[in-house]
Amino acid sequence: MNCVKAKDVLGMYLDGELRQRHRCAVQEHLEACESCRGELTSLSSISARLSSLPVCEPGEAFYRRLFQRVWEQRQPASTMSGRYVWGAALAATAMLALFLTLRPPLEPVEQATRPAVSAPQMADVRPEPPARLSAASQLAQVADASATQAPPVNPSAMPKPLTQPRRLRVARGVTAARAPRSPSVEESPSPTPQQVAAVSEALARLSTVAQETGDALHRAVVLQAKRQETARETLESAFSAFAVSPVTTGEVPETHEL
Amino acid sequence: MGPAIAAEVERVSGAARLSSTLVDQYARQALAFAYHVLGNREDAEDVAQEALIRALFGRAPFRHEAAFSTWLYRVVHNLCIDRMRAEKRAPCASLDAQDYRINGDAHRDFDRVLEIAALRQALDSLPPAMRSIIILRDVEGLSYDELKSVFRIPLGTVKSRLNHARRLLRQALEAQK
Repeated sequence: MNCVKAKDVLGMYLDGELRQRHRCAVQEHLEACESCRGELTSLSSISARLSSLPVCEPGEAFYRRLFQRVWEQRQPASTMSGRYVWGAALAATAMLALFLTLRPPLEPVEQATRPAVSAPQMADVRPEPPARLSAASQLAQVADASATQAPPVNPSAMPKPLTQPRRLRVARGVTAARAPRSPSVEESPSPTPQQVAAVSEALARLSTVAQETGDALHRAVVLQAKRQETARETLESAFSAFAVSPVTTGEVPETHEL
Repeated sequence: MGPAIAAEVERVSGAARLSSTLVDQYARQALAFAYHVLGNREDAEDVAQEALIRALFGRAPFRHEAAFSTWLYRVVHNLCIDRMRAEKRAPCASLDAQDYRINGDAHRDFDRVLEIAALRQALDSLPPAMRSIIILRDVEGLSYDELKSVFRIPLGTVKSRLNHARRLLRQALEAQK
């Protein structure tokens, strides 16, 4: 073994990580080479100096701050509400996007030109609404009613009100402002049964998605609550050796004993 | 408590009382390593606490591929690198008398402080990966296999990186003379 190879493995030799055969070869080389012996001594000295570096041990302030951060982490309200809000916002955005896609342009509240849809024609697709409606069903019914008033078959064929309220014109923005005015009030065409059925089917899917989203959110909240409770119980038992009283109000204990 | 430490507690004994011992042990381990890498007690405590919280709440994945202590070293190492990158400054060595274990003998204390300051300066001149590997080997006493798990590198890379780190450290120490 020459000096170059020996110096490459001196660290491993020092660490005892060389196999017996290589170890013997290095030993033989060291007995004959003063330079490599000096290198080994230097490496050994540096390792010894490093191992004598002061050790930073956790004090009372460290554990107090750690406990404080642990309690902050396990605040269930903020975590759950954050997730809930994001999930609810996502679901609401999806529902709003679908609603805006399906609905025709807004018309004045005074529905003088409301199309005549016979009761038997609607009875097969939309039951009579209950007295107290959920938000999803209300949304579905609004979309349903709007769709039956003026289905967006062709934008150029859509009925345009002669006197549109200012508030609606502003709300509809540029599209409404640029829309050509109709010379006269025209009656909206009645929706075909196929259109009504398509809208009803889309709304049924929307309601299903909203229900599933709500269920998933509920499950997530319950699961998170269970995890938080498990974490709290285990932490209290884990830190019991420090004689820290169980924290129930989210406050950090003032002192602890080892 | 997160699944990481909970699983470790179960693996070791299953006794709830031991968990506090483990928390204490891992806190010491994380803090010592972070302090040697960063050279500053305040930053080291912050990093060690963050690593322990990640362990307690299972934010970082612990897949039982290695010992929990090895996993914790890796988390601390990554947090130290993040801290150094974020602050974009050289580590600031602590001058806290408690850290240097000054005992009242002026001459010996002075020599001790100089010795530690020299080592600290030499360590700070190393790249973070070199600094970590030499600390874990020579201060914390990890084996080559454990180093391989901490840094997720092949054994040959462990050997060459450690060799290179020692060479750099020796050059830095010799440059001070």
